[in-house]
Amino acid sequence: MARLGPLLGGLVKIRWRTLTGRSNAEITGEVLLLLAAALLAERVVAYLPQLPMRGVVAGLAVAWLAMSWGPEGAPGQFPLTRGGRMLVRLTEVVVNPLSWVLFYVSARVSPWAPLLAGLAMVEWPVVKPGKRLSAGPSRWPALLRKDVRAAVRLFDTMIAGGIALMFVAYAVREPNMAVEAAWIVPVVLAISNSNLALNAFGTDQGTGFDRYLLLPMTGADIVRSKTASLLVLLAAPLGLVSLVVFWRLGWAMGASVVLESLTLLLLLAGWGAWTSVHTPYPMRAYRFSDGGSVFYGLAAFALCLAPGFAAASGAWWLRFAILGLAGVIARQLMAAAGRRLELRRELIRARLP
Amino acid sequence: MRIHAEGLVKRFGSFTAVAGVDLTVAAGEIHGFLGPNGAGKSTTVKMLTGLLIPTAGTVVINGISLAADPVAVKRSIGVLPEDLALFDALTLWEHLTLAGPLYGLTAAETAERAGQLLRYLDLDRERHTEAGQASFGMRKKTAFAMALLHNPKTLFLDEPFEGIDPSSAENMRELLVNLAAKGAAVFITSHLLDVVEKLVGTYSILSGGKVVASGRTGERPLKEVYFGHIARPAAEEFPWLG
Repeated sequence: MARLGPLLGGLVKIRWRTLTGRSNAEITGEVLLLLAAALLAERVVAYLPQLPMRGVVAGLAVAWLAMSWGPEGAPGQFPLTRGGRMLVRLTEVVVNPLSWVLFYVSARVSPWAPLLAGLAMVEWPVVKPGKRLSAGPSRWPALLRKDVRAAVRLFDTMIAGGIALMFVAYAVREPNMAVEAAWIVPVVLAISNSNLALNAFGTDQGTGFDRYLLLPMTGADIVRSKTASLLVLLAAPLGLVSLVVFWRLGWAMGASVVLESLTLLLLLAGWGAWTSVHTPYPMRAYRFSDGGSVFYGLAAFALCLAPGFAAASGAWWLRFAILGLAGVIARQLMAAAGRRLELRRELIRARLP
Repeated sequence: MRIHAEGLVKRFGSFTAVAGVDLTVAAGEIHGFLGPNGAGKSTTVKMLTGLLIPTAGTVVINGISLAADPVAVKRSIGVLPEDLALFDALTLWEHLTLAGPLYGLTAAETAERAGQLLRYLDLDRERHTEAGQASFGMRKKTAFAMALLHNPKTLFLDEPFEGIDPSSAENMRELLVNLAAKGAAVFITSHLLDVVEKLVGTYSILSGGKVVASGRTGERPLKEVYFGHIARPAAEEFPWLG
């Protein structure tokens, strides 16, 4: 135990510095965004367990047990006994605030969800050293392929995919599906992927960002490449939802959801590009992203709600007006982001590890 | 001149990393840029290649001002940066196929050159390994291949031989000598004085952000020049070691 003390103390310090290195407002904002997204999702799943904390505890237990059986990670580099490694891994889970948010939010969706979340926190089912992962379509331009491949390894993207599939399952099971679900789900999908839009260079880390700077590309070229990747990633779940709405609710509602989805894509592309060059944050595979500052996050949240409200209002002129406005916003912000990227390249690089 | 820098300064807050560096490297020349850790070598290379914006000074590469037309400069140079600048989610092969078209090569040209480079650098078997899962040496050789792929007029290499196996390092040296013989300028930073002395024709020694010595190899032993300007910590006994 005497040998373990400094190691456990180091883990706690790392977590503490992660928290204190950022403002309370940023952390609070992120938690609020996650909870707000979960509350919106509840409208779709329409199931709320009475005691979500029960699931949180179960999830922590699963994460601990599963992690103790996983491959040796960083703690394995120290001369520890098996018991010592298990204790370190448990500490890693318990002192990670993300564990608590993840388990709480998942418990609000289903009492079984924290168990799955606990398993998902274990890296070995998805990342085995040396294991080849899905390469993605090989004909895509390499920069696009690289972004898509990195993004599908983020929990943010997995959750968006999960929400889209849950919606499909709901629509298949419920012939008289709620009309509200059709316009809420695209908003939830956009919000759950907003971190990806707002941290366009997060998956590249600093070295990848350096490569962008070394390639003969202007700042505008780089922003366009990033936006193309985002559109591909978001278009897949939004397209799936749109198809299901066409099938269950008819052409008018389907067209409405397509308009809403296009508006969401444009808003996230523009605001995401702008935010990515102003408050870049790293993103790690198989982890939720760190997110940007609370202002940019809340602004993205508000922007994503606008097309949803327009769709809910039923006024077609309003939907087209917001689509047009989103187009103008996207164009202006992307152009500005391209120029700013060249001027702020050192600041962006310094924020990425 | 392939590389011409005048009065290069880089400050990070109150810290001056590079304090007025002048450099000139001609076509066909291999130039060694030497100095101890923290001397400002990598910072200088980053300014010469557009990764950092100089606080003061001008950079002209291949006759093009870096400040005026950075994209044209980047198209004409190859860079092996300090951190290698690879994407974890792309395979070694995909890095090369990504780079070729961006430098104006056709897909066929890219594939042919990439295949040849990977074979020569002994990376062929690992070509489908993702960079994030590749060893440091494999990553460095890939970044080196990316730097050469488009046949640049000027090449910047930051510590190219560290972490590279001997046979690949020998092949890399051969490539550089051939490239310089055909008129390209090669700018190398390194800590390996023996390696540099055999490879380069001219050198500069940087210390405290300033060039303290420069000249041609062969005039005086490089080690003598280097340690004439860079002090070594005094020798000590370590009775507890061993």
